[in-house]
Amino acid sequence: MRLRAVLWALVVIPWAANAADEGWARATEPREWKFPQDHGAHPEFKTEWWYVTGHLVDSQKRDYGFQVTFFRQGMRREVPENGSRWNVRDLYFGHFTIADLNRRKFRFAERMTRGSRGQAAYAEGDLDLRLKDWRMVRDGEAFRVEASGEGMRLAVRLDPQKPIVLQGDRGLSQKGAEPGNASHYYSIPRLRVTGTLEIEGRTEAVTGEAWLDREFSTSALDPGIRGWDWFSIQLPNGQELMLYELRKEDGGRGAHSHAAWIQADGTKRVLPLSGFEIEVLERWKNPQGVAYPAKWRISGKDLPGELWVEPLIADQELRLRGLGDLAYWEGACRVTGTWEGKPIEGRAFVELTGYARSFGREMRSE
Amino acid sequence: MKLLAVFLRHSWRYHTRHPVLTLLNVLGIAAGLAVFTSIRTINSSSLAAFAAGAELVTGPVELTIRAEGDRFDESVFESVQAVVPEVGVSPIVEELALLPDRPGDYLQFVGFDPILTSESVRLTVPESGGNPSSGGWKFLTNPAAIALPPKVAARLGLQVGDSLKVNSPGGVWNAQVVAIVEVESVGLDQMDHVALMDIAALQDRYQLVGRLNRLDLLLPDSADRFEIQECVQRILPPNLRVEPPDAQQVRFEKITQAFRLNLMALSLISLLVGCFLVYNTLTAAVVRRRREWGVLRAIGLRANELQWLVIAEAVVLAIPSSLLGMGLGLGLAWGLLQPVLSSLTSNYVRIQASVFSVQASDLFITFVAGLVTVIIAAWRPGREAARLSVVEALQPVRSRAADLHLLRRRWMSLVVTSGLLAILAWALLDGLGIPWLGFAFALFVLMGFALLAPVMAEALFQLRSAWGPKASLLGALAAQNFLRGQSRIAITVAALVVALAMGGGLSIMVHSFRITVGEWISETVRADLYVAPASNFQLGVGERLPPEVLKILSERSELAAMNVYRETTVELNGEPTRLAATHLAILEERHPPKFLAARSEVAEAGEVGIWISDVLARKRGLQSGDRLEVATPTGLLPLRVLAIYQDFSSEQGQILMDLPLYQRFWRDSEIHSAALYFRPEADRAKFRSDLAEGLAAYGKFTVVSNEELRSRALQIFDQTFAITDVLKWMALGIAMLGVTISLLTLIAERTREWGLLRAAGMTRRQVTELVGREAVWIAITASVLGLAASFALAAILAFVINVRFFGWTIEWHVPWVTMGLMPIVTILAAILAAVWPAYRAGKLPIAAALREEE
Repeated sequence: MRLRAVLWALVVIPWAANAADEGWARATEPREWKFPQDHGAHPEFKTEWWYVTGHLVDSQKRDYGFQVTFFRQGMRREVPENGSRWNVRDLYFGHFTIADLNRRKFRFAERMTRGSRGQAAYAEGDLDLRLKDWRMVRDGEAFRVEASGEGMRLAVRLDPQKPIVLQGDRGLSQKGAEPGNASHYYSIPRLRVTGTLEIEGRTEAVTGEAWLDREFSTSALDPGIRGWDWFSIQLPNGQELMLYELRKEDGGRGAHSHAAWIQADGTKRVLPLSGFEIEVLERWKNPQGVAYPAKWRISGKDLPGELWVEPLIADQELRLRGLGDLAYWEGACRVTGTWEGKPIEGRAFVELTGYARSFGREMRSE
Repeated sequence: MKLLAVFLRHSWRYHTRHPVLTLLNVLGIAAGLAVFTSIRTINSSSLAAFAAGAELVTGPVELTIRAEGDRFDESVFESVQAVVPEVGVSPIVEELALLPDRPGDYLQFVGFDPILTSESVRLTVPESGGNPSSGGWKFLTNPAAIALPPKVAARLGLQVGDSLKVNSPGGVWNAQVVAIVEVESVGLDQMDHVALMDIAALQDRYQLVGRLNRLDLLLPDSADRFEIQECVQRILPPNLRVEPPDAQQVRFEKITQAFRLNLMALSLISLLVGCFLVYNTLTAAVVRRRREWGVLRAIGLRANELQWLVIAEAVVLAIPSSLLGMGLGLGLAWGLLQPVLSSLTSNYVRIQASVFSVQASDLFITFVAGLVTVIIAAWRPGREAARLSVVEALQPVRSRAADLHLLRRRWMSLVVTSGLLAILAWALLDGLGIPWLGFAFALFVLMGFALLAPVMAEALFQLRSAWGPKASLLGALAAQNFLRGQSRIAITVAALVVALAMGGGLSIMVHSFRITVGEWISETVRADLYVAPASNFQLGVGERLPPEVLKILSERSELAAMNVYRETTVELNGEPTRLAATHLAILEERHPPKFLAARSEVAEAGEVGIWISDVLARKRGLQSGDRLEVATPTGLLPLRVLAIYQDFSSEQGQILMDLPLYQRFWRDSEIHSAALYFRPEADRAKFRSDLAEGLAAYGKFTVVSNEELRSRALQIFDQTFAITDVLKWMALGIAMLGVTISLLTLIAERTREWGLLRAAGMTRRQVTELVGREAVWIAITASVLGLAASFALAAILAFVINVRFFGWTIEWHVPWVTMGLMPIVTILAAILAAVWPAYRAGKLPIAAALREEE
């Protein structure tokens, strides 16, 4: 589950609650999934994203974390016909990060556009996303992703290693108490990555593993929810964990927090709220002094062990400009612990939102 | 050091004893400097105003793409983005709109994409205290949303949440202020009319779908500007150009150079008159204070030290003068700026910001100019003081009648020098093409006339002796005094000659110009009615006439003919040039322009024939039959000059092209105005009232008759020369101040003489009259030379400077009444200037006057 677009909805369009009145479709019941069609865009929903996160290693054995995300945020259901081609129906934006783990340097880039005049096009019916110079397209069973930013460029092929996992109830993931405050959500929890990474003026061949998250909705968070901590954990035994905790303003745990344990054969077990716990062990402060959690212990009666999750580098915060000075932390982590009675080491990607809101002026006066 | 203290004490005593004289001096220099400062400030401000108003660049823009003076098709956006994907390409569309509730006021809408520029343009809602972007997002979906810069919001008294009625082609709409704008690194705070809209909303509302004014390129830090410029230029259609945003500014500075130089030259004349004044006073002081300085010399002050002290004293006087001058100058600039900006707008390009830009450098230059003027003026008097031997200095003043011969010789040699310099400037003028050489030429001619003052004085004296009334003792005495005082008076006369010549010369030139333009206007403005969108008349822009309006007009049976105009700017052989497209056949049938050269024919297939204005022909060295190239959206188009016609509408020159051809090659059907010709039997009043009703649905239009248009055109002309009028009067004012000072020093110098005259039985009234008569002598001498110099200067302005630097050909017309009144007014003014000195002279107590200088 990824609630990011909900965050954008909160920031970008405070009147999102009226979405239904504007004619947007809502996720009220499980849908009949069809692939590859459902890899494509669903413009009848207000919010949609394609989220790729993963770990890479180059021929020099240098390690990297990466994230490439394509977002779409519907602004209005219809635009005037025969009018200006700059009329906004959707905002298209994307985030691209490279965590250069050996040099301990985190880079990020963003793209944002109203899509007019060829700046962006997200196809319906199949996966073909174009966001300025970024791409994500289906290539047979695989996907190709290209993204670039100042001093970095990634071009990779993603080959699914596991079947599609429909999250929640047959792909309907409830986000709040109100019906329709839910999203259609699926993941491909393990994809093999091959391709090239240009960084520091050099082009390197890279390989690695990634995770794809897909979600579309016309949804809002329940009142009182401040943000969330989200984890995708890949273990070497072929299992994965996806869990998130919604954080309330008072620090408590939101009722729609969720955990799914995916077996090596792709079957999924949803854990009850009482079945897992996420404990924060350490904190890290960003340059503005905002504290983010920086080490966790994940355990619970329904899990066959406990895992420690720890960022590979501390600062993996995206300090964005395109959306009006917004920041969130999304980064590559190391996993250690015991699992099914044996010591284990794995990898994770963690997303932390709602910690820093607007940096506004401080950022600007830097 | 001790000597310096003694000198300063003397100096102080002298000036406190003669407060009026000192004050007049300070005022004189200050007035000269005021004119100088004001012109510098006006020039700086007009450049700053252009800079501020021309571009609301949406961030750290290093390159912009534009079609010279016109909008272009937005499809270029894709091709540019494709070749430079790493560059932010920000599309801009602009439109001016009148505010129906605020007559005369308008908004300059800048339509942009806030998403593309979110880093540099911030739309904020101050009260909300929330996310700074929240105001911005309403932009994207609310077609009535506008955002205002803080200054504009304050000027209009609007806040976020308020609304404002605005004109548009579709009628009046309610603009809603949804945010306040902050733009990084742009002179937004200087813009009085800017309002932002989303690009889509602006295009939709103002029928500009698919059209852009500009593409701003926001380069990443690592980008190579020149590489990107080259790369982009290669894929642009020929009518588009990619260049740094300040290229516009550079071009504006270039086209207005002559205009600004002209003002600067006029202001220098005031400074020159001020310089004469200081020289005069100091020379008088050398005489007045020779004893005092003799004493200083006697107690050990060296000659060159004395010279420096005299200069230093003048410099000390120059400091309050400079400060006062700066203050007055800024006030003057403040008052004159608006008319100057208006005339720049009518003559060159529209300036929408009003920026009063006080540059520290301008003030510094004024200060330095003040000091330099004073040092130049003090140099000779200082040297004269230094040259006095101690013995000579301590002796009473001798009459200087004997000096007259020497004086005349010296001045004549200066006349010859000026003449030679004038000839040199004239000779180099065409060869080098440096604009200021034209002004140098004028200046040397002017100096030549001014320096004839002693010769003319003597000639007039001889004339009076031979032909004048013999009986008048007072008259003879005045004439004698005038001649004897030449060493003091000549310089005053010279200053007055300069001022009069400037006044007279400008009057003749402006009069000639006005008649020429007036005749041209009555030849050109011959249609019965003109129709254009109201903003074209009020704001001088090219808003289009909707096709519905053209249809209504063309269907009226009262009309014998109708012609339409499309005005734009094109790039002719790489330089921006105004182009007017119209039906040339109708124009020629109804009121052909005055053709100035043999007409030629289209020589090759594929060429388009054009008429060019005389100004353009002169500026670009073009002749009938020449072949040119113009960039169009469809490629480079070969042109052939078929005719050259007289035109005063554009200082940059203009091309006339047949409308159907323009429409074909530019793929553009916009029309900006229409000219209507009635049938003889048509009911014109009814037509006009019908029209007012019929057009109301399509927007605001101005319908004017030919007389109205003519008078408007002349109004613009007069406005352009309003500032020269002010400068003219300033110079004359300073010169009259010179007359007063000159008379005062003469009286002071001859105190003993007055005492003797009074003692010999002359009444107070007679003494007063004597001073008045001397003033009249000054005025007559100056008038004779001033009149002659006026004609010379006018001829230079009309036939050299205007032709070469502005491109105008002016027919010679003399405002005889003005010129005839000039000497009379000068004499009256001189008498006025003599009132205070004469009063002073009359009041001198006889005994004290006799004691003086013993």
